[in-house]
Amino acid sequence: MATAQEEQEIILTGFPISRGIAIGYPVFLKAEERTVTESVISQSSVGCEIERYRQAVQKSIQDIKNLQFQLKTESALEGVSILEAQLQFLQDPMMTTEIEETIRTSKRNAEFVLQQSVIDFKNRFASLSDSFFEERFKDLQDLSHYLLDHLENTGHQTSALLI
Amino acid sequence: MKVICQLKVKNRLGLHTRPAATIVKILQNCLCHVHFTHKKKTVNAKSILSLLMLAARKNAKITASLEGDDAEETMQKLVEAFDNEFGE
Repeated sequence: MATAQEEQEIILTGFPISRGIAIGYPVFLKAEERTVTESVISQSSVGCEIERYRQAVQKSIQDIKNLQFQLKTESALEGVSILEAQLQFLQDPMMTTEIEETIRTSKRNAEFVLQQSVIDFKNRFASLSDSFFEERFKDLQDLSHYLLDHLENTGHQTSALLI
Repeated sequence: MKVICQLKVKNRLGLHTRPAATIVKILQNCLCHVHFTHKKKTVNAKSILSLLMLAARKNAKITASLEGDDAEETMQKLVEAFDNEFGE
């Protein structure tokens, strides 16, 4: 039989980080500002630079598809649908044709053009005056780190693919 | 062929990432041009980033404008998705 003390309600104070109840270990990710070097590329290198960007996008798409496959085998369908949205980001015309066009016209390296584009999106999302939608920028920011890893060809992924 | 229809956002959180991804997936293979207008802002509905920047909350009314051969059947799919609250 429970004693009166055991039945007492326990009130915990803290900061809510998401709706509902989730059981697991919280992970704190330190968002680091990436330093990207601006380089001018020659007209003859523009094609190669665009191809390098395309390959980085394709590698990121393949990584996400592999993770999606893994989650499907684990029946983690919630994660599969989140990753579907990440695939859409990577195939968005603003992330593909527009960035390729900027590389072509500005004659700057892909990393720099990508980062400038992400800063532009950050400002545009910040101007929405709706905090819920402003937060959606973070999905793109995570992906851009992932893309930068592929572009910089670090050999290992330093950015976690968040789902 | 051009089809214009007003769509109402019925799901609780509005056009956030997953509903936007659903819309883009529906439009992925369609041939027609699709534009959404909300609060005087018109965007390409095949772009998830553009859809998110509409910041369309629950009960928002979006004017969908489709132009192309498969406009009518594509609009039907969009109407169903909005009515089904994107499965949420």
